[in-house]
Amino acid sequence: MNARDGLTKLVLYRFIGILLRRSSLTELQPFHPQSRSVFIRYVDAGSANDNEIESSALWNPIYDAEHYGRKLVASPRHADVLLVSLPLTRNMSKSLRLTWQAMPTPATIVSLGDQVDAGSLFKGSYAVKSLPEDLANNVYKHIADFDESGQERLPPNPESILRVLLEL
Amino acid sequence: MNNDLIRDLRGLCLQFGEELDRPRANEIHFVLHAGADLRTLVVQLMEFPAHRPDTGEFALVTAFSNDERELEDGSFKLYCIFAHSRADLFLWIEYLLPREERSTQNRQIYYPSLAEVAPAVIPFQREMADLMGLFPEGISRALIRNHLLHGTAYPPDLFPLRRDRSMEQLVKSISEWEKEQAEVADDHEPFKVLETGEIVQRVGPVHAGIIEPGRFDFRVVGDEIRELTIKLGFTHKGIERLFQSGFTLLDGWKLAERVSGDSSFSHALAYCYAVESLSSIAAPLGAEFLRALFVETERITNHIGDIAAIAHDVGFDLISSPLAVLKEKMLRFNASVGGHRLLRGLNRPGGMCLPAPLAVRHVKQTVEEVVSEFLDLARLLIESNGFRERVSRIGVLTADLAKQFGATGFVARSSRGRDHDFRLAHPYGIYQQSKYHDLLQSALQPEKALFFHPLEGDVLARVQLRIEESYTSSILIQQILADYSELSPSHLTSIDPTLDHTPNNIAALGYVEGWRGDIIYWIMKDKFERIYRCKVCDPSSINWPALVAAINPHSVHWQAELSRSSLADFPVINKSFNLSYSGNDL
Repeated sequence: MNARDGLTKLVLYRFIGILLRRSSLTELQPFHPQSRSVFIRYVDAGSANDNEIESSALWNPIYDAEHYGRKLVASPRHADVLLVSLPLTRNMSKSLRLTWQAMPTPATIVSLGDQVDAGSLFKGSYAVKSLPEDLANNVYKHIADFDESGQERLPPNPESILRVLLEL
Repeated sequence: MNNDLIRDLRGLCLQFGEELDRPRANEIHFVLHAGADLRTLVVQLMEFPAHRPDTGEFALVTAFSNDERELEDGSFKLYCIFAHSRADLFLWIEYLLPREERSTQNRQIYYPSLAEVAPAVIPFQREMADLMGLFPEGISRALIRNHLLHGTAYPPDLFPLRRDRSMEQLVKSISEWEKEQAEVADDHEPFKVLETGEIVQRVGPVHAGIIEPGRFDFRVVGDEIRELTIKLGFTHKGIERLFQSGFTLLDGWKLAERVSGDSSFSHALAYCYAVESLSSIAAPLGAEFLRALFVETERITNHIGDIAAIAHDVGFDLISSPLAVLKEKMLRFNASVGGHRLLRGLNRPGGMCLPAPLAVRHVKQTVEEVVSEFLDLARLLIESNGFRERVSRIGVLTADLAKQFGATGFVARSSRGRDHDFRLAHPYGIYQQSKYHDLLQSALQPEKALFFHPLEGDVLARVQLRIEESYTSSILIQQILADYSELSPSHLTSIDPTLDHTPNNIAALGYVEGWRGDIIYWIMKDKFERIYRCKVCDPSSINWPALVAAINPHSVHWQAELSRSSLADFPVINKSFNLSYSGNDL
């Protein structure tokens, strides 16, 4: 393949990306009058990199969270939202709290993943715990998908994550 | 060759210990009683067979300890499992530690360290120290402790894998300890200047993007990394203990899927192979085809995603964006075929559980399309001078280092040659058929390579190899689909595993060559289909020390001085290994 063909192909891919996006999220208006920018700090509090696969997909050309103004930032000092990927392990609990304390107010928390509640596989383990109360009180929403039998499906689909982030 | 090898090996091991009868054809078990013997044997094994080095070698694939104080041996046991690189042969060395008094609950127990003779054992020795309370002689406590259970979060002598305390008692003793602890001051030092003028820059455990938690301490001069130390353990979830307390052999696959999300399918599969081996059944041929198919689609998905991430890291978003779209296509394809984007909930001991019959044409078409688009884009990437310049000769893992640290998977293949593959050396599932074995072997021949750059263990080599592996996977998938569609329905029904006839405290291995390397499960059965011990070994645990070795200054043959990495190289090198934090921390 020569360079010119390659470039043509790249333009085509960009176009395919846009088409896929339109087909999956038609009802979400990117330039809604109320849309605004939300800066997000991501903390993996101990998940098994499954939530990370789905969350990082948000910034690919299909979901493209950034064109809705949802931006991932590299410091808690810049963030409005703490996106926490659960379960929370004992080893991470201090770092999670420090991140939360470093964020300017007003700020909120959105969580996804395994909540270590009744249905969780990690329930009862010595090494995981549910979110401490002061953080849990600030959780705006837990992002969850459910299957036909009503069980939580882990990890949530990128589309579900994006929907919640667009509510903010 | 096999018979000679086994005879020589037996001759060597019999000098030190006694042989146990082996339940499976490709295993040899030896039990040792003296610590000094263990060391000497491992030293000799590392050079075995010394007179014929071309016939392959033994590598440590996992090491772990088991609390067998309530069993007939009445003590802790240390297991080292070695796999031969050419012959289908596993050597289990069991070292029975001297008997302890039961009352001395939290006394530390020592065993001879193997770190100098087989550096691959280092991550496992750390694990044994924190989780089981077994300590290697001659290594300071400060060095070996607090890798999985951090001192700030856990009481000092918890040892959660010892069986004398239940999970509830463990949780209780942690919460009692927490109450006594005063609020610790923040010890986070992002930046430290040493007397030598060097700077220690600390990154993590929370990172600037979406990655798992781990802490990297770089000792730097300017941009040049003088030393890297990595602290892991942040995602430790107590998985090995959970297997014992909350799962039976038949439903443990659920937890195995949650060890590392990107290898969900391979982990569940390795677990299922171990349980099938325990109950002496084999899954039907149809299920084996499906298993091989999904392991390969998982491989393609992750290789595409990581190449996209590397392209993004070097600022080549023109390639990275369409690759990310391709990865998303594969994830959606997984969802349409297997019902889950990460292929969860499909594996069962004894068979597969697909939500709908496999749409062979759909699979064939999608894989063909995605892989050919991927190869086009990847060629553009590799043929771009800027990219090659950026990634060649950085993060070099020389063949010697790879051997020394026992690196596995594509990391080992990019340094030591394409045939370091469990599918070839220890065939399981469909690779036991000579047709697939030959197909894979011929695809791995160096003259079939897509790119002309030699594999020298640098980032470029790993990128190239992963592109080639995706192509190999697509060849395998086409063959699998052709054979699968000709199967008669009798090959598709699952078999119910029964463990009634399996004696208690029998152990078995399950292994799969996942996309990252060989995933190994060692499971010992307890009464009533419960799990006595389940050791999970993700390739990441072995490859983390190899990553550190590739970054720290070391000599390479084409350079007069030491090969050094700069801070800006680190993200690219790290991505090219893409190791799992969660799979390591368990």
